[in-house]
Amino acid sequence: MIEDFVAQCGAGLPSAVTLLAHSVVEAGPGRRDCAALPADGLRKLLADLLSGVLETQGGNGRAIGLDDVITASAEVRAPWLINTTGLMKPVTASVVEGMRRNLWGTAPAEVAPSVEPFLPAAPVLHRFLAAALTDLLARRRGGDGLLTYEETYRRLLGATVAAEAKLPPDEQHPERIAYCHLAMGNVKNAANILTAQFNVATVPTSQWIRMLCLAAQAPCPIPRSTGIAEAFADSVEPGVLGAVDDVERSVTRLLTALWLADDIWTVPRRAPGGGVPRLDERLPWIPDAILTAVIKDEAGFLFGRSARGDRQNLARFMELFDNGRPSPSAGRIGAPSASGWWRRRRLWQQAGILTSGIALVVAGMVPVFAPKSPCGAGLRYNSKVKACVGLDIESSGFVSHDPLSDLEKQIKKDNDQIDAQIAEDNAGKSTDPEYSVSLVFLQEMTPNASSTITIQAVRNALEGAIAQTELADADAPNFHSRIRFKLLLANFGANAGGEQDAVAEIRAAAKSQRIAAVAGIGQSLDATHDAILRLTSGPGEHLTVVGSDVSADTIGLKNPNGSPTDPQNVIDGFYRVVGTNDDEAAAAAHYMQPSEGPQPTVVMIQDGNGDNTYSASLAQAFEGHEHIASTLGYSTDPDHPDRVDADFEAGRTIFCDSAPDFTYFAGRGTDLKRFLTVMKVFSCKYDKTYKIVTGDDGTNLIDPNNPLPTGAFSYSIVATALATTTEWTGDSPPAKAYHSLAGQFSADGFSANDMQDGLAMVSADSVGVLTYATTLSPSVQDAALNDPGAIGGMLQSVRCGNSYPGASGYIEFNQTTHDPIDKAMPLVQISTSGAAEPTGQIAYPAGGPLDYSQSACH
Amino acid sequence: MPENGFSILVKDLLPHDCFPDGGLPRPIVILLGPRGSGRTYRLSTLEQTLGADIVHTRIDLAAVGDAGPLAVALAVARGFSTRWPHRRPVRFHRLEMVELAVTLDLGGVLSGALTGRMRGAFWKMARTSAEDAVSGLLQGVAKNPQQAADLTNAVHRAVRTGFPPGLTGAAGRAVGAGPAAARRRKWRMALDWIRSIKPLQGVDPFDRLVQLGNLPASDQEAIAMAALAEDIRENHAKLASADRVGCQWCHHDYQNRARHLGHHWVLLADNVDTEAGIGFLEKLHGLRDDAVNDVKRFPLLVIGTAGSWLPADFTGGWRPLWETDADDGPPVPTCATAYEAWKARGKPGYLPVRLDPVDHGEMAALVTAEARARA
Repeated sequence: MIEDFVAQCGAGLPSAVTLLAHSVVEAGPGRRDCAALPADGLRKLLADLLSGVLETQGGNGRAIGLDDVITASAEVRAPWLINTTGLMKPVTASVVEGMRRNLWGTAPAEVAPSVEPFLPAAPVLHRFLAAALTDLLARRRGGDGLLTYEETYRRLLGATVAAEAKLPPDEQHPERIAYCHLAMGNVKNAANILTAQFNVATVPTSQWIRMLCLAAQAPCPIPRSTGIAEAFADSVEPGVLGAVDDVERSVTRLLTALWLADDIWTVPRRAPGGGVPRLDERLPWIPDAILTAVIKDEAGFLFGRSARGDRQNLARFMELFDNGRPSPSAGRIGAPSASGWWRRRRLWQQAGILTSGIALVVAGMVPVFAPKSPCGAGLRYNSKVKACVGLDIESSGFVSHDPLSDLEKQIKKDNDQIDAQIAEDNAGKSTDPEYSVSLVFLQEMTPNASSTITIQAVRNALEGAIAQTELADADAPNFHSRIRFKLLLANFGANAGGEQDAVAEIRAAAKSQRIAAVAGIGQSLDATHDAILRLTSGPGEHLTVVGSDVSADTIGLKNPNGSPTDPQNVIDGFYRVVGTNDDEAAAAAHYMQPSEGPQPTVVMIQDGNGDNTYSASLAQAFEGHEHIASTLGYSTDPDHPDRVDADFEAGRTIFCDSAPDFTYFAGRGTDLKRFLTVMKVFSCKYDKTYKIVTGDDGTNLIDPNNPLPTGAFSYSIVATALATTTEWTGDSPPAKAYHSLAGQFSADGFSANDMQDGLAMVSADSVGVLTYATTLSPSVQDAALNDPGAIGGMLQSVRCGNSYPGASGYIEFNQTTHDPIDKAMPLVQISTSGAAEPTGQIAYPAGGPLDYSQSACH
Repeated sequence: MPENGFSILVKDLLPHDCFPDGGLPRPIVILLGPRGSGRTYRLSTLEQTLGADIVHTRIDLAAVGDAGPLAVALAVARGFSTRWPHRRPVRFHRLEMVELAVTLDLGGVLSGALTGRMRGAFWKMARTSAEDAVSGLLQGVAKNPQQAADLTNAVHRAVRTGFPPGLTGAAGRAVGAGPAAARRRKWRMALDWIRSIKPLQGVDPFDRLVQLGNLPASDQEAIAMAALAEDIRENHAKLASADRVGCQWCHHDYQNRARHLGHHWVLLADNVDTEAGIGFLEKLHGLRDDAVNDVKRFPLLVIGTAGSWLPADFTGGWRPLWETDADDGPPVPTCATAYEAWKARGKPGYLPVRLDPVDHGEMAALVTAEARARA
């Protein structure tokens, strides 16, 4: 977080980092007083940075001094005011010229290209310099012949008002007056001016946003000891209470949020579950979760209230704040009332319907002009993920030279056999015919360099699904079942980047392919969450989804920031067969706790990418279970994969020196491998073996063909696994299920090594629990003949003595959350050779296995 | 080097014969950023990335004091003259020759027998060592013993410090490497080149060298720059064979071409907004306009940095940020947009670009480094 804050404050100015890094006292979220910059240190830095300016001559023949620059800073940071007011003194003119010559004047486009249409085109002062000079101006107490902050801006306001009054109405810039009011801390007056402009029908939306943004660049006089939430509430209150209507209230809140967000001394608050915020290239500041929520909310409201032809600019403006992924309702601090939300929601829905309508019209036109697709039936090419996405109906593969082609062929062969078998069995039958339904196994089938999953892991999961489907079909006659199962593969591309296309294809084929449910999903990402939502809701057929290894706590919630136990917030039709990250974190914490003696020191390494739901929720869950001595952040970014290594390199000295008893790696297995690669050439200060504990994604490192990096850094890894090959002994039902699966693996010619990471078992269980559900009631066999989706509905019955004994353990679903209850969670040690070595421990969230007898109901 | 606007710009400009832009002469790029904004950091990062793959050198023009373009050209030549792995040695025969003639300051020296002696001395230099040869050259030409001593010292100083390291201690050892016939051929090419230089007159190149020593400083500097350019052009063609395989800097369509002249050499020049930098840029730019040199094939990419806005003559008609009148030319682009803007404009000359802010990851690394230093 310190790095984020300093990066924001430094505004791309490395020389400011030294001072800032020395000055940060405590980077608490939402605080504005974390950089306790000493005045002399700041003056020294500025004197150095501005040496070129200070060498120039002022208008009075003497060299410009730093105090001259500080005094002139109010005008220099808002050069558009200078010409208006005619205030500029000779010395100010020299400062302005010196700033320009020495390249301190920057254009908004330099830091925010996408915002350019909205921001004033005039050059402004470099952000750090502007903030530092204003800081020194604000420290003046008067009495020494130098103008104070208040005196400076009062003069500027007076001169601006007078100058604007002299201009004809169509040449006036009321936003400049608003800027001065805001610099004086008078939000109400500033908002009043902007509201009046919003209500002028002839002012285009783009121009109004430009006015808004210009005004919001005003310096903030609120003492830095006041936190951002308090500052927002205090600033917004007079304007909201005195507002005449909703528009003025909304403008007040929007302007205040923008103004405070633009204050570089603010330590941004993390979005709930969103991880560490990042500097976004489109915005010059790190989006604060709550402030950006307010901005989006109010801009959305104003969008609805605007009747202008270019109001779409407000929507574009809102998109700039998507980076922090705040929830629409997360940040209504200081809200006057909640009454606007539903009204606004309707307006947005209308906008969405309109957009969808246009999209449908366009989509209807596409086939006329589209070239022949390189993809097979049910698939479409997605340029973002550079692969065919959708449902592979003909087993045609997802890319040319598909590395999974052998498995695709096997699936086709199996499906053809099912068709032939059904035809044979039904010959001469007049009642109770056998029939088939399709189970779709959806996941990232075409990983690329930015993926956090390997093609081997994909293969392992697919093999499990194939083997389990074959077992189910072979077992069907034993249960007197008329249903046979076909497996169809579906791909949503690397990092689920093509999920929209994939889901559209799956849903389009739901009837023709008699799809009963979708299993798999793979990893917990924002995009996979979106895919689950799209599959289980929205217009048209709803499909049941059974996640195989998605463990993020929030993946099954409609609103990840909402209540996990609120039935309204739980996604209908989504189930999973693995324990949640919270369960994993509990297991990991239990593993680290000694039976006696002092508490261990624990360092957590956390992926700050909020899009990576798995990592974010793992970190959040672990924080709740274990006292963490310190946290080191890194950030994955599919567009900049190199940054991960840079982050690790930046943090490795601190990590080594902290010499923790345990390190909890709350990130992907591939990231852990990169961490180890960075560490292997590094000699830690302390000669010890660093014990690393990680979540189930760490089992992706189990690959005997790809040993782990070794070198000077000594480490051991324990992962809370989904399942292991050595988990079960004896002849318990899960043990039998595992051995059946292993036998089918062998019969299919799959390598036994492919079961080591446990993915085969959990993907088999995601398919198995669906096939098992068809055996729970004879009626489902009739229902599924006409409505294959009825099978998914039976998952509600997998509980209370109807537990499914899967290869990864007993599965019974919580009636509310649809998460498995007390799922077994083995701990495995991953050796440097890439092999899984059992620890012999199975962790249960409830402390031990439940009673799965037929009479038990949990 | 992490990919950013600057690295992309360099990558776009670096190929020498595989231009997606149709082969516009490369501009003189000037990276603009205020003091403390990371210009040197960017240049250092690029220097590390270029490594041994791309022939390059770096010079800080704020550190050369009031040195003129000739001294800067020599420093640049010295920088290029390190031994590049898998490549043939770099030689600057023309520049050496010019430097020798200029350093000797032959004005006022009796020159009746000098031409003949110079001729003999050069061939001797080609066979043995430069110091011996030039010392022999001076015998009998000085007006008095004091002048002879001064000249001898000047020659030795020139040989010791003026020649690129590959040739110092000098020129003789480097020149002495290889068959004598080849060495003579190189010198003969250099002498042939001196025949083409105006305003020197006469057929005999040694006559011309004596004249060169007596020219005004500005003319000497212009000829020195031309020598530098011609030497770079020749060396580039000679060393480019190592670029033919694994052309990672090239447009991917060209990566597997069996033969091409690879990449530009790169001159990284810190602080071109100093007096020495401005002087050097002026000569370099003039040189590129010189019809003697085919600018399209001039294989040097110059990337300079400046902490202040340069005089109008050095901004190539690009408009500073504070000017809003479109008639003043296109606005100075950022690194990320510079290549397209330059291509659209289609003009060689100067290309000032705004430094992209150091990004989050790099800043985080700096913070960590600072924390480490503090510890």
